[in-house]
Amino acid sequence: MENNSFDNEIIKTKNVNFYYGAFKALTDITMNFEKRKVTALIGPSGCGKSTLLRLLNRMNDLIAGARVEGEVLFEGMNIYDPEVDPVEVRRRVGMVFQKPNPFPKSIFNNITYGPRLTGTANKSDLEALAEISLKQAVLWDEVKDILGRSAMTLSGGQQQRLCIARALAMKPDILLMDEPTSALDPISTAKIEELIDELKKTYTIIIVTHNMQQAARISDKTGFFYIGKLIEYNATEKIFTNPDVKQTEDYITGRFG
Amino acid sequence: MTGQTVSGNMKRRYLKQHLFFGAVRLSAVILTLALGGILFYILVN
Amino acid sequence: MTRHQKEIIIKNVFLIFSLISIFILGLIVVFLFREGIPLFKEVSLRDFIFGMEWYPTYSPPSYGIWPLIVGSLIVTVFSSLIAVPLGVLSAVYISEIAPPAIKEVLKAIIELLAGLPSVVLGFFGMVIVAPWLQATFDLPTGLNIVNASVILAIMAVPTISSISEDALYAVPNEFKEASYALGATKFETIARIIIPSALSGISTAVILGMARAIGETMVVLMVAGGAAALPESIFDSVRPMPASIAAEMGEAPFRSGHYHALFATAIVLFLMTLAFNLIADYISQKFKEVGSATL
Repeated sequence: MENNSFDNEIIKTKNVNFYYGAFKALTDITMNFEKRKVTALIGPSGCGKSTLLRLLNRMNDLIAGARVEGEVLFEGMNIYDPEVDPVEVRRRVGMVFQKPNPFPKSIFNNITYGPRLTGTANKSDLEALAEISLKQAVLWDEVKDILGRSAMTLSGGQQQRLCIARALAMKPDILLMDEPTSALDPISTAKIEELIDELKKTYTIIIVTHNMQQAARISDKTGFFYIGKLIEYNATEKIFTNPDVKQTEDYITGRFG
Repeated sequence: MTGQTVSGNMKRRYLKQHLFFGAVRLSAVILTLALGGILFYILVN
Repeated sequence: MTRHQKEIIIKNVFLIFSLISIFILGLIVVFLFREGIPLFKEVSLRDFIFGMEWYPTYSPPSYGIWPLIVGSLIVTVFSSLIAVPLGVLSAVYISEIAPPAIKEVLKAIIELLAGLPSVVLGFFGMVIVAPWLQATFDLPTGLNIVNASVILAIMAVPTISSISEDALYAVPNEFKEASYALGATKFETIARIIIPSALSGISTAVILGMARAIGETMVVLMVAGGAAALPESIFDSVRPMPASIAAEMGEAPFRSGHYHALFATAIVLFLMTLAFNLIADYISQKFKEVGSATL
């Protein structure tokens, strides 16, 4: 869907096509994402919503045979320009995955993994950063006494919040979330949703979700995808009450998907 | 962190990567040469 | 016959076969000890292990195997110094870096290396490496520690490389994705995430490779030179334990002191390789039980 250009947009895709080998996974996606808003991407499995998310921090580069056409402009700069280093892009566009994936290291080392790579070596700096990030992810009170313990000993919900804290420690501009609660129980899910609501004050969040209630609860804008196409992109309220496109309505009311 | 130090930092990180990849490729080449040498010798004699 | 009965029969057949193989192995060990232990009527354990002189055919004979133990250890250590970096790095290259075509070629090469009979490698060491070493470094003989270590390294690389490779493949993709998503370069992901996660498998690979080198007979018999004396430089000849056993067993009269001494040497060698295998087992178990150990 074409949208008016927003002054506070941070990243946008322009006529993006994406291929896995010969398979065309995304067709002509043009989409603006607003600063400090939560944008939800919904649609049935295989509709390309995760693919689009992974385009925004060049995670798709890691897949052999993947090819991108069009532009992804991050603060006006095309991140698919040959001059652009994907490592720099990923430093500024953080990502949280479907399955909690902490490293088999201590909680502290999980948080400080990224900052250490970019050259933060001072121990007190790292400790301060770990504390801030864990507090932002509302995990600090639960783990402040066990920072040296393996992250694998945490529960699934705690692991996922640790992954969020780990992404926040890089001080990204955008946080991408790929179905971050699909592997979690309802209580952990509620905690993460609260967290997202808190985080959007500081960060731009783009979240892929299978759960339409979740999209309705937490997002400001919602994009509906179907077979690689962006069918409708509108304010969440509008999408869920009075969508412009019939297909959207059918999906949301459960008539297909 | 200023842009200058960030790019300097990146340069160092990529240098490390180049050195490591070099070492790794070298070991693969050595193995190939060792086997190649032995097979060549066996075939020639 | 019901399916259930069939299952029980198959189960028992497997059980019997495995019991047979364990039984045979047990017999070998018993035999080893029965033929080796009588030596200690003639010499003390201490004089045997730490004795500096190996003159089994003199009169009176002396059965000190310290030079042989040192010979075995030194070629094992030097061959590991060559084989471990080569094997581990090539495994990293194959599993993480190489383009698919090169990867297949390299895997084939390593399999070929693993399939080369040790006598071929020994022969290669004798007729190519030895004369070259002799001429280049102006030595009395090219059959020495360096030569044996190089050839043993070639034998150990396939073991180290293929087991390490399996360990590297087993690292979950999620860890790699997480690392890349945090802005790590490929090298940083390999060095800080992939290799540490695969460390138990890699250590197992290294130890099994070393066990292979220490037990290898044909190569050291052909290229180590055979001097039963403590080496003073890396260009000296040595006589590792397997070489000594293989070379002398044919000449030692049945159940003579020499014969028992060779069996006792074999016991020492057996205990050493057993230790290597137990360490490898311990390391892989330790990491496995924790799931993923804290690094």
